[in-house]
Amino acid sequence: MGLDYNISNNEQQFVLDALKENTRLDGRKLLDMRNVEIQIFPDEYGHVDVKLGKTEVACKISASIEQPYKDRPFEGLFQINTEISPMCSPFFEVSQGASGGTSSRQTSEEILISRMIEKSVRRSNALDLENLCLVAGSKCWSVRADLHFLNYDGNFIDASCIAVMTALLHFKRPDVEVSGDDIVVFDTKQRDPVPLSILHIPLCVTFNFYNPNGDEENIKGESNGELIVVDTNLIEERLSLGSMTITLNKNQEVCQLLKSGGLNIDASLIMNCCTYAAKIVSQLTDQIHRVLKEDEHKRINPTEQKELQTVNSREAS
Amino acid sequence: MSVRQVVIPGDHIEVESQKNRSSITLGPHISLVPTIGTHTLNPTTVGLLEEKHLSAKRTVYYVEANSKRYLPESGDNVIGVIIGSFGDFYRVSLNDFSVPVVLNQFSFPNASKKNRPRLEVGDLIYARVESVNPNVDAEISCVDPTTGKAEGYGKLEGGMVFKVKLAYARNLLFDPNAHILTELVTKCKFEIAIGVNGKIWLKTDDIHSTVACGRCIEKSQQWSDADIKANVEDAFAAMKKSKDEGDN
Repeated sequence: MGLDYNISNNEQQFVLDALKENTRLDGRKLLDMRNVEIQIFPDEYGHVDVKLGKTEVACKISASIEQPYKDRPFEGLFQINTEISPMCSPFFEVSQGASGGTSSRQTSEEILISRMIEKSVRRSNALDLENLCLVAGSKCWSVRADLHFLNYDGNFIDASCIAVMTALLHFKRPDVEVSGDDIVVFDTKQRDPVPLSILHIPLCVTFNFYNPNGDEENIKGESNGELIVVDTNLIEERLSLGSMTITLNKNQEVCQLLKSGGLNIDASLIMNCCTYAAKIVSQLTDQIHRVLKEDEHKRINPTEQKELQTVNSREAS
Repeated sequence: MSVRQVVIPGDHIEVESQKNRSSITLGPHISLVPTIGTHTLNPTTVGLLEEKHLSAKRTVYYVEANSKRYLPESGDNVIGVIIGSFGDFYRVSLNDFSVPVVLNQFSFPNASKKNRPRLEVGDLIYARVESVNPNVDAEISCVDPTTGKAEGYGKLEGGMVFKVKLAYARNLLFDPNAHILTELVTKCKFEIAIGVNGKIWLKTDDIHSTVACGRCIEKSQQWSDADIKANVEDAFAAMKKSKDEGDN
């Protein structure tokens, strides 16, 4: 069984030639993102489906009450679960779990993706954990984000980051009342559920690097003719000589930057990438807010709203 | 003449009783239930039932169905990638993550011990499925058995591969008046090889028109017949515009 994509020399040559001419297989320019489609499932809170071209990722947030860590009694728990199943592509094998983990490249790719999301969302403190604390040291909210990878056409990192952040922004946990050690959890019908407190929205932008003249040129460092490509699809991702993922928020704060190996690039280029990423991130943040607002609008129940109003229109008798 | 009807597994399709067993030929995705008097056909997958009269006495029945993974059938024209060689054979992948097929180095026109084709890993070839046997790897060949010549089979130089659905690739290959292709002909000059394994190889004079043609073919899977002309027109206009921008 072949376990990798078999990309012919013709395709490789064509993709590189096309990049040299500032065009790509789907008609985009080098620095164009694919169209991001964010869909929120209507009957739940925090269930989001993100499509980036053919790449598709779904994220579901759930919350339960648990005991906090002993060393962090004032903080809630937040866990991101990323397991890539072969459903999205046979390229990703069935994961063996912690005990029987194989050190194949497939699994390392998978680890990289989950690490990236962990670093971007959890470690950048996007979710205010202290706000999840109910009773210090004994009870707190445990928020869990489950990512499901549905189809693979490159750039899982960016798509899943958008999915997790949109889902977190959309999610609402049941309201609770704490009196002493007793906690009362209210049904969503009794009291409106409460949104999580999100401090900022970090989003990833992945750049891929190519050099049509071979990577030796970059090592010598005289004339660097490398090409920078944003949001690669599957075949472009396979052919790239190196990638860099920058995580930013709308305030232009860099939360994380990863450039693991690959093509050598100049520091000034990283700055250029950052400024460009900031532009993309601000567009994406606006899109996320727009989608959330539209969804909020749809959820308003007109009859319920009317009942809640103090002034009722009375029919003239 | 053809009759089109959607069938699902479990359907019983009665065939006229006066026909005897030998007049019925079964194509892909269909099986025959032997009964006395009438003949009942049983589809093995969802699709359109096709009935074609080969001659006055022979009728072929098959189900035209779409699937995602290509399984070799003898006689199919396919596009493959060389992924290795062993002994006198090349190993060829027709489908990512599937069992590779084999290509004999002598299955080329005029090939001999001294005069062999030189193919490297990653080369793209257009070939015909020679034999399929459940117990051994399927074999493909680059010779047309009726003439003993290449007849278009062999290594594909340059160009780009685009992937389409299997049913669509079959439709493009077997329909001489496929609308999208006749429309593209009016726009630019291109070389094309269609593999029923869902791969289409395209080569034009420049990169921009190859991308435009390929995208038109890929997208035309969702286009209605009436829209094809306008959509192709739009795609090429957009291509010209972006090409001019790139030149400036």
